[in-house]
Amino acid sequence: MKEKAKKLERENEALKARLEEAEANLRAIKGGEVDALVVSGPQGEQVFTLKDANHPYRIIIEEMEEGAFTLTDEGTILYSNKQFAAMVKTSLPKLIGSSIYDYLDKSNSRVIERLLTYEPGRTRKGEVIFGQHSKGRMYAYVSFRPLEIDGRSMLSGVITDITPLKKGEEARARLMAAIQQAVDTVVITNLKGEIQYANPASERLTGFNRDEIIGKSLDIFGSHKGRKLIQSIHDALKNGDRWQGQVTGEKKDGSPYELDVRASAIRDNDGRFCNYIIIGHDVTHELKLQEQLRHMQRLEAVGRLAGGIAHDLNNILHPIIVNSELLLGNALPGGELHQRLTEILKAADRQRDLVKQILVFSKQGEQKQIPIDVDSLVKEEVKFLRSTLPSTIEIRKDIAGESCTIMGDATQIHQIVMNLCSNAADAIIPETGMIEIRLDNMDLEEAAEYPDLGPGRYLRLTVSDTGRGMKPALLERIFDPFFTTKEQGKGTGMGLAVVHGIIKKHGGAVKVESEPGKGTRFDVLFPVVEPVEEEMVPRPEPSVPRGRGRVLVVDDEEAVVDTIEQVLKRHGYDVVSTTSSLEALDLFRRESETFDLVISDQTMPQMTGLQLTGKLLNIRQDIPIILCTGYSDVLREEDEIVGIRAVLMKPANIRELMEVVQNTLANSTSV
Amino acid sequence: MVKKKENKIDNFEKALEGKDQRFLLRLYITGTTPRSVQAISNIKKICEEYMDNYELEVIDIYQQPDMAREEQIIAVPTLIKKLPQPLRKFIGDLSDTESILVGLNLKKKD
Repeated sequence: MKEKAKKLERENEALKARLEEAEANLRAIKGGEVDALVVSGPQGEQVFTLKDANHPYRIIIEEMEEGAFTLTDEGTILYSNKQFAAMVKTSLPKLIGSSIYDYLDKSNSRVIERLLTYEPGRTRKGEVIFGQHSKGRMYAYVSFRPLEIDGRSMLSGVITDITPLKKGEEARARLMAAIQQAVDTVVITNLKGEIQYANPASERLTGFNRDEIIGKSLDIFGSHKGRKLIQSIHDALKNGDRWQGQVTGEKKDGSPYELDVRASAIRDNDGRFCNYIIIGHDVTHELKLQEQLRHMQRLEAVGRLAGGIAHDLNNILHPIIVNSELLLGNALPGGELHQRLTEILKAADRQRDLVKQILVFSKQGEQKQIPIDVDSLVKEEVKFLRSTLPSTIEIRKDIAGESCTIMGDATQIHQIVMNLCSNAADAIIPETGMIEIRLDNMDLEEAAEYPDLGPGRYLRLTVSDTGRGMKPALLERIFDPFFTTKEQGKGTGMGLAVVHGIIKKHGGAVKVESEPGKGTRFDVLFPVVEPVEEEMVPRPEPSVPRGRGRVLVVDDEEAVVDTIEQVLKRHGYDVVSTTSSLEALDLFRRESETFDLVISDQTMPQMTGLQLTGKLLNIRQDIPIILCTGYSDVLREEDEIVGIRAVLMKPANIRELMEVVQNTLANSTSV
Repeated sequence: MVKKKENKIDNFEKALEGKDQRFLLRLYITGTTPRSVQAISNIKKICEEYMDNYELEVIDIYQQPDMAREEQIIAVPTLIKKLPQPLRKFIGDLSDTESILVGLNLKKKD
C-alpha cells in the first residue's frame, strides 16, 4: 500500500510538472514571448515561424546586393527580390509569374536547362547571359538550389552580376592576345631575373620553346651579360627610371641576334616592384643593312681613291710605254737593248692592265658591251684550266642553259670565269678535289636571294669546288678590295673585288656559299639577251699610218706632252706643244687657222680639257679636238660634247694614238 | 556553446561562500528571429554576472529541428537547465531576469 501510494505520488508530481510546463508554454505563446512553434508530424518536426518573426530574413534577402528569386522547376518566377528585378530591368509585378527564359539570352538555353534540372539536395551553378534586347547584356553567375516548401518542389536562385568582371576578362584577354601576337618579344621575369612568361615572338626569335624558357634566367638567351643586364635594369628601375639599350643574344642554334630592349618594372597594388617586363625589337636585319651600307660607302671611298691613284699611274705609264716603243723602233731586233726594251714594255703593259682593273673596280673603266656567248667562253676556259691544273683536280662542266647570251665585255667575263676558277683551284691544291662549272638559266620571280635584281630570265654561272671552304667571318670579306688570304706577293687581293665590280656593271649579282671543309660555291647571275648571229672577228693589226698636218698638243704633264710630240713628229706631223691650257688657248687665238687638230688632256689645272674645248670652238667651230683622259665617266653618253671628235684613253700606245689621230683627221676632212 | 569565465579573485570569494557550482545550459532558438536574439543576449548576461562555471549551448532548430523532439520543445526560444539538477525549462526571451535567477537558484525568492 505504502509503495503504491508513493508511486501515485511520483506520477502526480510528474503530471504536475508537465502541466506547469504546458501552462508556461501557453503563457509564453499568449504573451507573444516566442517566435516559433515546433509541431511534430509524420514527416518529423516542423517549425512554424510566427508573424513578423521572419522579418530579419526578409530584410537580408531584400537588401542583399545579389539577385534572389524562387522558381518552379519549369522556370516560372514565384518570388524575386528587388535586385533581381533591377538586373533584368523589369518591374516586380511583371516579373512575378513570368518565365525566367524570357530574360535569358537564347544562346545559353542549354546551360539554363541543365541548371534548372531539379535534383534534390544538389546545387547547380554556372555562368549565364541575360539579354534584354536593346537593354544590353548582363553576364551573371547563378546558383540554383532545390527547395521543398509545403510539399511543393521549387528552385531558389541567387544571381551575381559579373558583367564588369567579364568586361575586365575580355579586356585582359585582348591584352593577352596582343602580347601573344606581338611581333616584338615580351618577357616577364621576377625580381631575381627568372623568366615567368615569354610570348611566342620570343620563342620564334630565340628558337627555344616555352618549356625551355620558363623558370630559367635570362642567361638562357646566350647573353652572358644576362645577370648583369638584370642588375643594371634593377638599378635603373629602382630609381624610377626605365631601361633602354641594345643587347646581343644567342639563339638556340648558336646564331646571334641583336635586340633593341626596353625594360620597366611592374608594381603590385601596394606600389612595390613585383616583376620586370622586358620588350625587345629585333634589329638584326636593320643592323646588317646598316653595316652593308657602311661597307658600300667604304667601297665607294676606296673606289674613288683607287680611281685617283689609277689616273696618276696612267699619266706615268704613258711616257714609259710610248718612249719604250720609240726606242724599240731604233733597237736592233735580237740585241740586248731590244730585249730589255721589250721587257720594259711587257711590264708596262701588265701595269696598264692592273690599272684598268682598278678602274673597273672603281667603276671608271671603259666598257664596251656586245652580245657574248658565255657557253663558248666557258668551254674555252675549261680547256685552258685542264691544261694548267694538276690531274689531281677533276674538272666538270655542265652546260644546261638554253639562253647563254648576255650583253657584256668579253674580256671582263673571261676575267670572272678565270678568277673564280683560279680561286677554286687554290682552295683545293695540294689536295685532290673537283671544280664544277655549270651554266643554266634561272627565271627570277621574287628575288629574295638576289635583292638587286628584278624579275626576268637570267643566265646562272656556277663555279663550285670541293676545297677548304671558308668560315663565315672570311666569307663576309672576300669581295673587299685588297683583302687576300694569300701570302704577301702571291696575290693583290683585287681579284674578287674586280669580279664583283664587273658583275655589277653587267647588271648581274653574285651569291657565295661556303662551309669549312666542304667547299665553296659561287653563283653569278647575268640578264640574258636574244643571241645574235654576228660574231666578233679579231681584226688584223694594220701598220701604224703616217700622216700630215699641224697639231696643237696640251697636257699638264711634261713627259706626256713630250712623248706625244715625239710620236707625232715621227709619223710626219708638225707639232706645237704646251703644258699650260691658258698658253694653248693663247696660241690658238693667234694662229687658229694654222692648226688641223688639237689633242688636249682633260685633267689640267686652271682650265680643264672640256673648258678649253669650249673656248677653242668659240674661236673656230670646225677644229677637230681629241680629248685624252684616264677617267671615262667624265664623258657620259648623254653629255656628248659637240666638237670632241674622239676620246683617247690613257695610257695609249703608239698604234692607238696614231689610229685615233688618223681617224679624226680623216673624218673631219670628209665633213 | 559559451565557455566559462574564470576570475581568480571572485573564485576565491565564491569558493568561500560555496557558490562554485557548474551550470550546463542549452538554449533553443530560431535563427535571428527577434526573441531568439534577445534570449541569447539575456542569458549571456546572466551567465556572465552570476555564474563562474557554466557551459551554454545554443541550438538553432532551423538547422537542427530533430533536437527539438529529443527535449520536447514546443515553443522557441526555450532555455533548459540541465545541471545542476533538477532539470528546468524557461520559455520566452528571458527578459524577466528576476524570475530566471530564481528559477536557476541564483537568487532567493523574495
